[in-house]
Amino acid sequence: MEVSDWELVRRCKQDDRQAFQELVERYQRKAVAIALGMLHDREDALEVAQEAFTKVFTSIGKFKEESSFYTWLYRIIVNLSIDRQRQRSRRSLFERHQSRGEDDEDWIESIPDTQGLDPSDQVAERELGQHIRAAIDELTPAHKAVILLRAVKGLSYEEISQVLQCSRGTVMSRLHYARKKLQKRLGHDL
Amino acid sequence: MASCSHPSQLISLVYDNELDEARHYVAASQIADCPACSHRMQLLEHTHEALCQTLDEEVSRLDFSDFWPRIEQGMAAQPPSPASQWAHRFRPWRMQWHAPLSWHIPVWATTVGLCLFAAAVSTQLPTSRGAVHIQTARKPALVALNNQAQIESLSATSAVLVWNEPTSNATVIWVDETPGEKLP
Repeated sequence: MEVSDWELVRRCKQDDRQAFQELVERYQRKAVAIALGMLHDREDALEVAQEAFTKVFTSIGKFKEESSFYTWLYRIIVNLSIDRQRQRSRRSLFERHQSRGEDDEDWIESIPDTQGLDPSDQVAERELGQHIRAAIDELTPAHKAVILLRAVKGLSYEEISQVLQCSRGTVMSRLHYARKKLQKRLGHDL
Repeated sequence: MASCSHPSQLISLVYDNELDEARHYVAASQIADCPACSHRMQLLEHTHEALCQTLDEEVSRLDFSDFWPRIEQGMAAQPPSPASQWAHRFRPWRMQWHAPLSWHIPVWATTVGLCLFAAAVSTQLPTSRGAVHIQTARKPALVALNNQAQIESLSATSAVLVWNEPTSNATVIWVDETPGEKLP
């Protein structure tokens, strides 16, 4: 039987590193997926997720267990991703252009292996991936966060409101707006 | 695409399963009966699927073999907080005493309860005596009703002088327990 998050958190508070490793392995993929959705850079996403887990470990004693562990973890990831985005936006124009080109190549390389598919389907898959990336890029950090939390982990509105520390109505409105924008941007791809 | 009067947010609520069972049933029926709403619902599904698929595939291509070791490095680089230092020092003691203490919790609780009760009783007693004393001290006011007072503590050798000031109607009583001492 799988050990509950509560039990692992309780053990982490007693300095049990093995329990913490189990928590990391349980949430690493989801954590990276959220950071990746926010940042669209694999290295940045991995770094942010690792930083978030390190923060979790150092401040787990302060975690009051009033909310679930993963809402706390995702809040840290979203905040760190937003900070990282701000740092990026402060970079010089030259660096930004150069990095953007590399990011684009990075993203294209990472497009799923579509061997076995019809060539026209492969092109369509690649295009859809690129279009989704571009569409997400156009969203504000708050809208990105809400749509990613819903898509990656399937969090309820209530849980998303806990992560982002806003009302349920705000979550509903942001999600609606973000989806509309994505649909508009993706247009015929859907 | 045909338009309809149904609010588009309702479709999101149905899709995200955020309505209670009764409302969900009604709204889902409305959407199924309305071609425009059905189309919007399909768009929503496709957007969600495309987004999830893109992210899942991207994450599945990442190498996580170095993920935990890098976190461990980050944890080692963190300076320990004073609180965690204390927690680390007391950990062996806590581990040693945690089990025996937890077994005797009812005994500890009873003992502490009795001690608190005893402390409360002992602190209350002087207060109640004090209250009686205050009441006793106030009684001379009653004694003065008939202009008589009795001083019980006087010994046979004490000298008493009572002097009345007629203008202010004040009475002064001198008591001297030292034999041979002259009163004013």
